[in-house]
Amino acid sequence: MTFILEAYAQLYHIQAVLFGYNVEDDPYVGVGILANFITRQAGRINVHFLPHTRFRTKDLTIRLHIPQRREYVTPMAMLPYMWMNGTKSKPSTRDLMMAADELYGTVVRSGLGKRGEYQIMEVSANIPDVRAITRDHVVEQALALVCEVLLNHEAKTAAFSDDAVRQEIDLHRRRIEATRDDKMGYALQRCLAEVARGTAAALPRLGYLEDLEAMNADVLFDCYQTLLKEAEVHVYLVGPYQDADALSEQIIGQLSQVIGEGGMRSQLQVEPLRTGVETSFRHVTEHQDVAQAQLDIGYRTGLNFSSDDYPAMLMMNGVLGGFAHSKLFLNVREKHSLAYSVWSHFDAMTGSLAVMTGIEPKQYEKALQIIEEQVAAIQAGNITDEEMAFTFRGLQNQYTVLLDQPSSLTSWHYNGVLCGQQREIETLLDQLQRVTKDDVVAAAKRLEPNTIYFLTGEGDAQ
Amino acid sequence: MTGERAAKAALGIEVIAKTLDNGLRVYLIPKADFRQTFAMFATKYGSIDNEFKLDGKPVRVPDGIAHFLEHKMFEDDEQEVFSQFAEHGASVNAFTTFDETAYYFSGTSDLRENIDTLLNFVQKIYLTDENVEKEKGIIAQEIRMGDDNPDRRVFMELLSAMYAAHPVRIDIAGSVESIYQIDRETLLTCYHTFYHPSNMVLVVVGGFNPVEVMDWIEKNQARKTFSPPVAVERVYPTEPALPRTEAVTTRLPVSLSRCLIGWKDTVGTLSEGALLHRELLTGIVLDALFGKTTKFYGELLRDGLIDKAFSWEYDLTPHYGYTVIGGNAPRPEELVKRVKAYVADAASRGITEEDFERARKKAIGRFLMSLDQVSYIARSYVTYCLRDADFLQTVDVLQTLKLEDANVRLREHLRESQMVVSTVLPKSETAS
Repeated sequence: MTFILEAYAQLYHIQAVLFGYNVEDDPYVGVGILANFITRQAGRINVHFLPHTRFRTKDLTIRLHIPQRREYVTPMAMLPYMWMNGTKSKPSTRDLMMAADELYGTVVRSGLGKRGEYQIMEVSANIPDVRAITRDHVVEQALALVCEVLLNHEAKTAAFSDDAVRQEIDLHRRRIEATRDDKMGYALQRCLAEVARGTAAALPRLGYLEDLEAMNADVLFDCYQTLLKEAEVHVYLVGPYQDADALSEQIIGQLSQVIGEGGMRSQLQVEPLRTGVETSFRHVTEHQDVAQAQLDIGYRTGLNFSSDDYPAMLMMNGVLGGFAHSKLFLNVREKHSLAYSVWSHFDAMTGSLAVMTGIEPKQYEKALQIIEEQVAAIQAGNITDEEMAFTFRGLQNQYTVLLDQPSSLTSWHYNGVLCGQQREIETLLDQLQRVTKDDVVAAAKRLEPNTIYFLTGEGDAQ
Repeated sequence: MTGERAAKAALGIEVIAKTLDNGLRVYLIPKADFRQTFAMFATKYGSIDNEFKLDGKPVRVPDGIAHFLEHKMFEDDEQEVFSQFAEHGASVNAFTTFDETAYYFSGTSDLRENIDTLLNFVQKIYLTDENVEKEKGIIAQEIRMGDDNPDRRVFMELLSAMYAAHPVRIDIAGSVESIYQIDRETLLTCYHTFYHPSNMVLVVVGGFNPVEVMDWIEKNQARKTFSPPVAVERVYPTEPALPRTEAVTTRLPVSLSRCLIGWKDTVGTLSEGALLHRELLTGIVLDALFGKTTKFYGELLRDGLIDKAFSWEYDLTPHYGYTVIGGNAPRPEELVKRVKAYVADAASRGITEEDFERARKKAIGRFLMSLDQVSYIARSYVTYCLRDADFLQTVDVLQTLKLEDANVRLREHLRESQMVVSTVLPKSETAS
C-alpha cells in the first residue's frame, strides 16, 4: 500500500495548471448560483451560460416547450425519439452515433419531459473535457451535432421517411405499453393524472395508444414545424467552456436561421391545480397481475414552486415522507413492516402531493389508516424538534448537492423559467431554515384529499 | 511510481491510501471544490459467501443472509441510524451485491460526525430475536417487488441457467423461504466473520482536506479494539466450464417480452492487473460488436427485434465472469438466431481497426466524464479495490489495448458452447 500524502500539496497546483482549477477563484461562494447564469435573448431563443471550472463534463442542452394539448400530445411526444433516427446529412441513427463516438464518446441524446401543463422536448450533449489528450475542437463539433439532430430535417427523408416513421410508431406503441411494467412509476403517474383530471397536466407524457393509428410522416412533420414555430427555446451551457460568448453567438445564429427570431418570449406563469374541488377521496382501483399492490394517495395543495409557502410545503413533505426519518417510513415500514418502500412526492409545478407505497393487497385498510394517521398527526401539530431539524438538514443536503451537478443546475434554472419565478438555492435554504412548526401545520392543512389509487392483483378485492 | 502519479495527475485525481493497524484499508480521493462528500464503507462479503470454513469447521448459512445482515446493521439500541445521519444532514444507504456489502452516506456538512457515524454503526451490531423476526416481513416485500420486476427476473434466471453450482446463481436477497430460516445467532456469526476491519475498505471522495480526514478516521479506529481476524476460508463449489443449461423461459404479467443472451467466461487465476485489462478489453469487443454504432444493432432495431434499451454488460470477479446482452425483445427466438450467426461471422472475420479505435476513444471520454460524479468514483473504486484492481488506471489500460488481443478475446470468450438464453414471456390471458 502506498502512502502518498506528500503528493497532495502539489495537487491543487497541478490541477490549476492543467484544468484551470483554483479554489480561491471559485466565484460562487456566498453568492446565489443563478446570479452567475449569463443569459442572452433573441426573440424566443434564450441562451443561458454558467461558467463552471470544477466539472470535467461540458453540458449542452437545448429545450423547447409548448403547452400540452390533447390534439398533439402524441405526435409531439414522438418527435424527440424521431430526431435521433437520422437527419439530412447524417441519415441514420448509426451515422449520428458514430459522429458522437468519434468526439470521445460525447453523449448526444434527445429527451421528452413533462412539467405540469408543459410538454418539453430536448436535445443534449455531455462533452468530455479532453483538452489534456487532444487538440480536436470537440466542443464546436458537438454543438454542430446537437443542432443537426434538432434542426436539420426535411419532409419524407431520414427520420421523417415513411419507413422510419412506421418503425417509430411501432416503438412508441411499445414504449407506452411498457410504462405498465414499472408498477411503482405507473401507479404514481396514474394517481397524479387522476388528481389533475380535466386539466392539461393529466395528459400522459408519452401520449395515447389510440392516436397512433392516425400517425404518419406528414402529420409528424407538420407537428415538428409547429413545434419550431411556436415553442419557447432555452439553451443551457454549463461547465468549463472556453469561449462562451462566441459559442452563444454560434447557437443563436444556427437556431434563428431555422426557427427565426420572431415571436415574443411568452409570459409564463404556471398556476397550481385549483383546490376546493373535492371534499373526500375518490377511489380508483385498477387490476393487473401483480404480486405486490401499489397504494398511492393523492392530494392537491393549491401552491407550487412560485408560491411564498413553497418552503413550508417542502418541509411538510419532508416531515411526512421525504426521508428515512419521516413519519411514513418510521410507521409504515419500521413499526408495522407493511412495506419496503413508502414515500411522499410533491410535484413543484401542479402542487399535487402523492404518498406512494407497495404493500400486500390484504394490508390495504391498515396501510391506509396508518398513512392517514401520519397526515393527521402533522395537521394536529404533532411534530418534534428533531423531525424539523432532520428534515431541514436533509433538504439542505439535497439542494446543496445540486451545486455539484451540471444537469441539476440546468433543471433548477429551468424550473424557475417554467414557473415564472427564479429561486436561488441559497435563498431557499435560508427560507427553509426559518420555517416553523406552525408553518408546517398550516401547509399540512392545505392537503386536500383527492384520489386514492390502488393497483392490485386480478383476484384481490379492494 | 512517478509515472503512475503523473497519469493520475492528468486525470486531476489523487488517491491517499493507508492501511491502518487493525487492517482497515482507507482511500481518500479529494475533489477540489465539490460541495458534496461521499463515503463508502464496504466489506468483501456478498450473497455468494454462503459457505465457508471457520477455523477449519464448515459452515453453511441460509441464502440471502448477507443482504439480511445489511438491513439489520441499521438497527441501533440508542438512536435510529437514519436519524444519526439525518441530524447532520447526510443521507445514508447501503446495498448488497454478489461479492460486496457497502454502506455509504452523502453529505455536504458535518463531515467528521458523519464519518464517525458511518464507522460506528457498521462496527457495532445490535440484534434481538424480535428485531430479526420483524425484518422478515420487510425483506419478503422487497423480494416480491423483485419478482414482479421483469428486468431483474430475466437476469437472475440467466445466471441460474448459466451456473450449475456457484452461488452467483441464487438471487442476492435469497428467497422468502430461505430468509425465514435466518436467526440471530447465524447473523452474528456472519457479522464477526466478515465485518472485521481487515476484510473492509473505506473510500471517501469529495471536497475535503485529506490530512484532516485521515486523522479523524485513525482516531476513530484507535478508540476501538478488535479481536484478531478469524481464519476464514470461503468455499465455492466446483463449477463446470460449460453452462448448466442452454435456455430458460419465465412467464410474467408483462406486455413486452425480454431476452438476455449470456456467455459464461472461464476465469482461472488472474495475475495482477489482469482483471482490469480483461474487463476493458472485453468491453471494447462488446461495444465494437453490439454497440449502438454497429451495423448489427441498426439492423436488429430496423427489423423490430430489439428496442433502444438493448445493451451489453461484462462482469468479471476473481471467481466468475459473464457477458450479457439483450433487453426488450418482441421476437426472442429470432433475436437469438441472428445473434448466433452474427457472432460466428464476427469471430471468423475479426473486429476492424476503425471500430476498435472508435470504441477505445469512446471508453476514454466516458470514463473522464464519470469523474464528475463523486458517488460513481467511490462506488467503482470500492468494487475494483475489493477485486484487487485499480479503477483509476482505466485510461492507462485503455491506451495499451491492442486490436489483435481483442480478436483473440472475441474468439475465446463468445463461443456458442458457452452461450445461455433467458427469456421472459407475457403470461397467457388466463389468470393463474
